[in-house]
Amino acid sequence: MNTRRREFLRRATALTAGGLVANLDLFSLSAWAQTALSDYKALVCVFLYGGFDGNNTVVPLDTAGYAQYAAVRTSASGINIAQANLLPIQPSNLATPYGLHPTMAGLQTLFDERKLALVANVGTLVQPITKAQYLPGLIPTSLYSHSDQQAQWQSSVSNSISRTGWGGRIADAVAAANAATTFPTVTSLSGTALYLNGSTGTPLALPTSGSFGLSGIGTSASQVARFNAVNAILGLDRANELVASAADITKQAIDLSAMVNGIVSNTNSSIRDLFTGFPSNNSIAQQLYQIAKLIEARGTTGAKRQVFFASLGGFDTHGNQTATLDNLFGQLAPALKAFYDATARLGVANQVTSFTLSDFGRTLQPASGGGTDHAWGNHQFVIGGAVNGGAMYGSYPTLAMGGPDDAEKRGRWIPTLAVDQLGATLARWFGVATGDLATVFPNLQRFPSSDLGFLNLS
Amino acid sequence: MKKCAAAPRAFFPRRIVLALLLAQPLTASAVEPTATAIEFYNTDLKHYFVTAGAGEAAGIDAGAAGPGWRRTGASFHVWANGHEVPGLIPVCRFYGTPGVGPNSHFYSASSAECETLRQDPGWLDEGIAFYVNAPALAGCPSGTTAVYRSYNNGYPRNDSNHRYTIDYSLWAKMGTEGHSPEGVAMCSPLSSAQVEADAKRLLEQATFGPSEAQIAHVRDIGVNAFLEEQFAAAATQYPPYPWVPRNKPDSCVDDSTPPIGPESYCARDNYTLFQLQRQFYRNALSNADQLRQRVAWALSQILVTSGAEVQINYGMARYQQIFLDHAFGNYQNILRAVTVSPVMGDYLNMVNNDKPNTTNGTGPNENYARELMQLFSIGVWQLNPDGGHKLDSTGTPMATYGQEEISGLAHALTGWTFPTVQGQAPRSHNPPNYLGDMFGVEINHDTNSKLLLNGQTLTAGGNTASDLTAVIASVFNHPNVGPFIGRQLIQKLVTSNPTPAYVARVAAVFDNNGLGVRGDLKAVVRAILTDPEARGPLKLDPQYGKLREPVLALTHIGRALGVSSDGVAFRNASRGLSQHVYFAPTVFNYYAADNTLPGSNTAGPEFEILNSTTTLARSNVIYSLLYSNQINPDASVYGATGTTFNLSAYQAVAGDADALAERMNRYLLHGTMSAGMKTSIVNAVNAISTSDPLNRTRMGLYLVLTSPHFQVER
Repeated sequence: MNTRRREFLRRATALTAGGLVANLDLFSLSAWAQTALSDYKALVCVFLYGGFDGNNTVVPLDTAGYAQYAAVRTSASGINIAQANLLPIQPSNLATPYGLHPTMAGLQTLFDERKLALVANVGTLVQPITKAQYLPGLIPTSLYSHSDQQAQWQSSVSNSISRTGWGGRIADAVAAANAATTFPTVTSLSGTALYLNGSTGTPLALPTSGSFGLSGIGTSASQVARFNAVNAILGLDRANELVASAADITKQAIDLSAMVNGIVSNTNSSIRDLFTGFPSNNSIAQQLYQIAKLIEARGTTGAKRQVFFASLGGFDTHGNQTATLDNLFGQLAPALKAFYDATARLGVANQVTSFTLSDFGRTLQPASGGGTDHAWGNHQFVIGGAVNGGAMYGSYPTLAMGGPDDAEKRGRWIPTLAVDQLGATLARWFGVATGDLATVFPNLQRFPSSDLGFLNLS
Repeated sequence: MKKCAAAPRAFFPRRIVLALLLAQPLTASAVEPTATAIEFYNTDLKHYFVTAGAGEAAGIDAGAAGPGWRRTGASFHVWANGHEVPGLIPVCRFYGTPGVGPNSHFYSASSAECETLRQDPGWLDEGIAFYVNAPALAGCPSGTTAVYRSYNNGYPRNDSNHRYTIDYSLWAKMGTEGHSPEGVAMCSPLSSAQVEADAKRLLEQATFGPSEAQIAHVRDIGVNAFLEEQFAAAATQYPPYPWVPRNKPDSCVDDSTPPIGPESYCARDNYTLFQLQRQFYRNALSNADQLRQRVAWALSQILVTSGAEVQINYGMARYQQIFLDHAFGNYQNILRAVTVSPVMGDYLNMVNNDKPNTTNGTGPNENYARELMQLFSIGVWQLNPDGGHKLDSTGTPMATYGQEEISGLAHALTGWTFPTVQGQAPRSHNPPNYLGDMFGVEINHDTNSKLLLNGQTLTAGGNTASDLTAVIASVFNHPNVGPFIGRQLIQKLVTSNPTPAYVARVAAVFDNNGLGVRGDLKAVVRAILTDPEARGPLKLDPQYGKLREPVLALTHIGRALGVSSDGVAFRNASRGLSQHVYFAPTVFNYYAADNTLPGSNTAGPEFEILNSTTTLARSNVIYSLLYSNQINPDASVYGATGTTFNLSAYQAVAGDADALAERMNRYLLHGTMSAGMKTSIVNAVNAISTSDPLNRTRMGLYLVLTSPHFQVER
């Protein structure tokens, strides 16, 4: 870490209320140095931008539960899913069945094989609250706002501004595991995101297709002169912070391009056939394919712990929800299944855990125009060989407007689990020391459990 | 108690400083200044020092003044002698009396202040340091720029030190080093190079890029005359693209059979934004109303609609024309026009948004109501006029609205539908049509009372029109609009990190243009571009400037290199750089105004789309533009002419690598190229034979245009 970044970190820490931003120096790095890490683990975050409608993703299938759903999500509203079209699943820990969105056959299979767990009604929280405590100060700031709720899901900090995300902070906590390589712990296939920002290193953002490198690089005298001059100039005149930041991003890309290009451009991957069936405009399949190739090439990158980020947008279904979700989930579900299958073929199914996050859930009440509005608690998927799957963690809300789980009157669920708890469970499995969890998730101690049990830690 | 010089006060009262600066003309001294005062900083003492003596400066470099002294990179011009031009005044220089006063130098152009210090045993008179221009009655005279002074409040420690700088932003931020601002200390003569540099900077901020002819023009007529010229220029008009039905008829296809006519690519030209996007670039690269287009482009990134949802070429053209028409108009009219636009209605679900329906259980759609407040007008936090959060008695920021206000506005905006298609009968839910404004269908309008902002209640019984007017007024008159929109316009035109004071000055003009009018964008734009934080010959504040967004990087390159283009290549290029024109991924634009540099609190909105992949793509786009002899016309585009650059002015000097570097420094970096960067460029250019001026030119331009020093405009 260069001094400039350290300086930024110090300021970021100082400026955040309550010192909530992780301070790198708190991590017990020495613990890592003493552990010989011959293993490999990856966390794959799939962020569903826009706030997907969990109420149409996981629906109670028992007669009473479905009746509650259909009483609000009327056929006339245009967003009802018929009971017969839902894909049944039976959580092993519950008495009644649920149905998945009709496009999610691949996820239904993974659930049945116990490789997929559902985390019900999880959301941004400052602290556990009851309906009576739905009050300013006790609830996250700017609830129901896309930008703010994305930031809170990605940072786990819901009561102030954070400049780092929990993916980046997890990477900071395990940095010693990757000490032998210059390849960054954090890699995005979806550009920049707060989730990725830690205090060690710049996240790498790779393309979903095409090559990764500078044009016009070669061995002629002028090409060598150009390349050398580009690199020299990137190191000069860095007094302006924006210049220095742009230079850092460019320098990292150039330095890693030779190694990375061979991986992202590889057309002979052993898992290629699992992704050839997807249309080229299925962005999430392309992103997950690249991640699978990077995992496949872990011997080349030298990475032992990797934090990946992928995303799919368009879930802000205020209108035309049915067709939009059919399309988006129709891209997402088979891509997640193919990615799990890829990890199985690569022999790392137990070492790779994927999970979804999203801005928020959506109102149970339909909105005019065949859609839904912004809400709060939502249901998320966790997938992998280490997942204690086939079960639903947390409590599914009562589907009643103004009911016990509704923050207001349109069906906005008060979360019963916090993103902090979801993240801490993942981080613990990933190898973040128990003592470091409070640094990665600064508000974690406010919640009753830091291990929701959906991952097998043995 | 030791009798030492009290903290000397500036001789201009602070409150007139800004007034005189805002009127400062952009003209050089008639005679080039004869000396330069170079600034040093000592990291141990935390003291600043300036000297106009080349010998003294070299001595300090060599350690003669002790350890820890480094040049800051800052300097300002002065006069070596008092008689070089009429009306010069001496600047006295004092040093703290050893053992009595501070280990520090002090400079003043005020004879009264000099005389006071001469009577003070704490200070030793070191004579005349250099000469500067005398202030005029209204402040610093034409051909000069203000030198601002700040004070380290060191008197109680007997450690008084002052900083003197012509960089307003730097001076305004000296509080972070414990300094207090003291105002204008003296008037420094401007060299013609300094004036040209600021003319170029103005054109970077106010246009789609400085052409060499326009740099000369601004240098000749000055900032204010240039702005008036731009305000008066006729507005660009998007072509009247033909109306098409929302759903593409089967007969509308792309037909590549030659000859290509205007109708050949029916699907692409009507059901994607292709034609509009290339027209955007054609206008940006060559139309005269540069400032209007630039402001319109900024507004279109605040009041966002996107081809990601509405890919009807004629409709999006009509939406974007709102910003071209109103760029110098009133923001309230923009809010109203945008709200009733069928493109926005479709994009954020205000169209066919009905009152609560008990039969199917639906409620009013909240999408538009929410984003109207969050993104288009006031934001989620109550703001002070300087853009900072207003805090309650416990120090907590206060929300501007809650779910109840969103619900109130959503109900108030029910009942609007698409404009009726010509020749059809109006329906309560008209089919999609983007020609004209949406219109109100009273039977679908909620007539109950509704909560608006700031506790205002809309009484029951209103109709679509009266409730719309009330909603727009409630939002527009909220005190947040000036700082919220003003700050974003500053960020999109000038710098990512304006000081709070800059935001406050612009917000004040938004609130009142001087004639009692709120929301006058012409006045706001003038305030933004004439502010001392935008203008001035030197910008060393480490947070100054902005990353050029892909669109501006491309047009700046094009206009600097004499481009002639049909827009196709530019349209394709910015698409590949995460800034597909009029096609932001969401209503949150390509990037958020509050995005920060990775791991930092420094704002860098455009950095949200700069990452390892896009930074290489930027370099590669520049490579392909420079290293193609020309970009041939796209055969599928009727009337295409392709894209060509005119590098002849650079090629003419390319035999001399030094001259090439200097030319690029002047026209592309307005004089900010460092000696180290120049050496790197000269060496690389000289790797190519002097018999190949074209490739020497390409080498030089590639290195400058891909460098972070060009990518960040400052």
